[in-house]
Amino acid sequence: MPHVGVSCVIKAVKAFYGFLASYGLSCVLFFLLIVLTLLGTLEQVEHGLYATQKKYFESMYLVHEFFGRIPVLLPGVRLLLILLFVNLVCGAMLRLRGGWSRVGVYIAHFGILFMLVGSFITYEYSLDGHLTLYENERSNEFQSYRDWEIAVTEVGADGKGLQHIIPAKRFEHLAQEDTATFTFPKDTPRYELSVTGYSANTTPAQAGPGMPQGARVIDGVYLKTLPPEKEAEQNAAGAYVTLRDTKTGESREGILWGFARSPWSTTFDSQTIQVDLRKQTWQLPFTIVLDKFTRELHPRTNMPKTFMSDVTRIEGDKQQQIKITMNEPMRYKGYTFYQASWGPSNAGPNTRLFSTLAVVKNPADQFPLYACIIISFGLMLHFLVRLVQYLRQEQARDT
Amino acid sequence: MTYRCASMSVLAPVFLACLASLSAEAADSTTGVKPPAWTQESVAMFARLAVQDEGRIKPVDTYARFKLLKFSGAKSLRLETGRRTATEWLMDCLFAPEIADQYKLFLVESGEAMDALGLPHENKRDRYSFRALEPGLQKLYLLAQQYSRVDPKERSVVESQLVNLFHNIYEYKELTQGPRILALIPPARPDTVEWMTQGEMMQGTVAAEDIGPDQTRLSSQVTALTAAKANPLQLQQSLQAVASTQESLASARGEYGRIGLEVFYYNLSFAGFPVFYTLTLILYVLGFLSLAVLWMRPNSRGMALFVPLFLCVPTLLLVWGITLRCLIRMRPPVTTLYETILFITAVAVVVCLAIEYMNRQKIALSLASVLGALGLFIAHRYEVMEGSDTMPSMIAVLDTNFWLSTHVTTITIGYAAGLLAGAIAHVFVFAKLLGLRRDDPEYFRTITRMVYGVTCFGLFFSMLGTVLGGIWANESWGRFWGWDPKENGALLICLWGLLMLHARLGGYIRDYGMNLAAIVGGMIVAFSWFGVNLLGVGLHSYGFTNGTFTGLVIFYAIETFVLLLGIAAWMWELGQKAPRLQPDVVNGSASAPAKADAGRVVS
Repeated sequence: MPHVGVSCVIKAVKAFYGFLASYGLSCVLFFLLIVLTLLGTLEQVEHGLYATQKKYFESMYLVHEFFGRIPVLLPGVRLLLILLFVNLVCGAMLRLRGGWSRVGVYIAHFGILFMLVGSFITYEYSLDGHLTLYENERSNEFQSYRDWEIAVTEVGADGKGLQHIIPAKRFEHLAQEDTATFTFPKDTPRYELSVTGYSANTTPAQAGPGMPQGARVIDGVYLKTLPPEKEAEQNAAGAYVTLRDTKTGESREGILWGFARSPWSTTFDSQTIQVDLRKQTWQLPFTIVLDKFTRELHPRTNMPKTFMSDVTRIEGDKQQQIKITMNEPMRYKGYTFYQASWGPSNAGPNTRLFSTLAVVKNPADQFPLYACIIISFGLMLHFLVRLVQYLRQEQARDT
Repeated sequence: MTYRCASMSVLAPVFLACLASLSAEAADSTTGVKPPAWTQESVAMFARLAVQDEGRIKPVDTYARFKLLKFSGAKSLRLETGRRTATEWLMDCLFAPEIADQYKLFLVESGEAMDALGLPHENKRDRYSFRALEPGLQKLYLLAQQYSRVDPKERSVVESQLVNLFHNIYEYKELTQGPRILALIPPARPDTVEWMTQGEMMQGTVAAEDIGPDQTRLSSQVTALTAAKANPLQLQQSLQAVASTQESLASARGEYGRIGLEVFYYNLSFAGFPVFYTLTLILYVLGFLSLAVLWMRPNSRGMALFVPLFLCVPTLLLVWGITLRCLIRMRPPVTTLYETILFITAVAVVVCLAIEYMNRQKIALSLASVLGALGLFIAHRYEVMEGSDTMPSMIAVLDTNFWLSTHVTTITIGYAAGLLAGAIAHVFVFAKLLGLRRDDPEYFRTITRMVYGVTCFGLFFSMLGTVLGGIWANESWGRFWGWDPKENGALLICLWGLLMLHARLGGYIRDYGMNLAAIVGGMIVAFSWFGVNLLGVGLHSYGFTNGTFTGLVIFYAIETFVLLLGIAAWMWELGQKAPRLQPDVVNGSASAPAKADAGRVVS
């Protein structure tokens, strides 16, 4: 009897492996990927890229409303890509079909696997943001386009101070009635910061008759929740905070708003504390100075011909002048700086211009290039073999 | 022989439409007006003058051609006295505006627009002279101002037409100010890129350092043109002086070298037909007709040799035209949507001829003529619809020959292959529907092999092009993949190709399945090529275009109809075969009906 059990298990494992390695699974995955790509593309018209990307392309599952009213549960592209990876490994790499005449296919499949690995590394480990500088300005940090963080600063006598960072993932899930509490300093906790009512897009509004029922009002102002913008960069996050001095029991309430000109600030026992809801910020291991920004238009048109930032990279006592222009980024120490945009858009001849450099730190930056080479080589080899086979067949048919 | 004639009759409407488009190339502007009699030498010299427009140096001939196309939807004007070329028309505008005002120039697509202006009209779609529109100008100005404030996507058709008409009239009135408004004068400083108009020099709005003695001389010579306009011979002499001075100035800056080539490209004609691409289209049509003869006389060795060679002629002309465009702009073959049409047509035809060389079935040869004619017809319609220079300056992100020649070229070859596979599949569907070669399963296997081969070819280029596009995006925007609609369109093509090949390998689809899937593949290519541009979102905003919606809807309607016909034929064939499966069913070993779609797996 145990033999029967073991053989059943082996049979089941084989069947399951067969399923994972099957062309049928590949076809279903390709078909679902087509459906989701199509739906996600069309959805962008209504909801913009960012929201669509989160819903369709970075999710494990989602509910799509066909014709705006029929809800259907669908797998997300992320889940499909994981399954495709497994299907590729089992079907194309482990189960070798067809022998050496299909070596090109194996190489191409390996290239696709490599690309999927690269996309996973990019998704999990890459940072992307921007560094915006006016001419002659300098900076050693860059900011996220969309993600937020709360920075709490115990301001010292020199106006600077110890900063505590609370990343968005610790508060962005909070509903109106939920509260998350953070204590600092880390070693000898004295202050408690409670965050509540986080919303991705808000605007401060005067309290009055038209405001929603139960809205929290601080100093005559409440946070009005807005629908998300199509361009996620334009969302202004907001949240309510309560800061308590555990030593004295004193507490203060405030409103954080992403587009506020200055951080919310309060003082306990002559210790000023600033709380800032800002775009997530990362430090660079060097400083960038924008020496000059050049914008060229095609003659007698308003069509851009080229944008170029002349920058100086300062690292310790080493300085280097570099040009960053469209299609010619600067790569250094794992960071890549691209010419992204400029402003102000209504600049006159003597207006001081700013340049926005996109900054990316992506360990898999060059994976697509390697994958491209591998896939191309594999497919070319395979189709050449096929072409030769086809021509031989035709020749045989003719004779 | 009946089926051969039947297949011809299926394709005949395509050619009638192509030929009809050629006859509509000249705008009928018969108004009883007697145009000025410029000398032939004057017209030729004026055509070869260089002018800076839309960011590049181009011949006046090209400038005139696209202005006229924009205003009238045609490349020449037809008057009672004969056809007026674009350059002649421009000379009329510049030197005899009182006569040009009477030409029926401005195309108004609907009578409602004329009603809105309170102007009389006889036809729904017609051309009107400036004189005829003049009483409605005040109203037009007010309406255009009002509608300009509306988002272009939200404007009604009539509102858009009125805004366009206003802009066209405004541009036209600028032309009637004379040659002083044309940027004909190269600046003195070599690093100054903007050419100057005589008007700007007179007004002193250009830097003094850019005005040397040669510039001053050329400016005076341009002024003399206006003074000489009453006397054609004197005008010819003045033009000679302008041409000579300008050529030496522009040549010294290295900006005159390709002017002659561009004039040649647009003006090369044979028997009155422009070679690029009217004559080419006609030759494809004639090629198809000679193929019809070959279908009817299959044993004629002479025709069997003549037809493929004959079809090589328009193909070589098409390739030559594309090459000339590359040389004129010193760019890879595909930089605009218009050029994608030319390039896709060329690739499809060349691949068809290569397939024909390999299998000699005349299927690919027929398709070469049909696709050649159809592609050039679409290119012509697109050029008329856009009404702007088809060799424009590149915006910053596209201004890179490396990526244009790698990513754009490869992805466009992928598009061509996807569409070609779909086109070949049409032959399969119609042959089945019309009952052709019913007793020749090898014929259908050959078609399926062709579809398979072209799909593989297309998948290779689509995948390569898509990944190269990602690498370019990584270089320009800092990310390999951003789920932008244009990127998604390319991904859809790759995924569909992969689905087809894997489904075939798994035995889920065979002859019918491959062919019907190829038709869907063609629809996906159309979505990626033009459809995503209509969404109006994403970073690939340089590819947005208006007016292709109707064309796409028609394409999708036809393809859906063909697809349904193919499915119906498939079902009918399965139904015919079902009784023969009965004994197996009784024995409990019936083969899956889905796998019985006539034939073996094609290797």
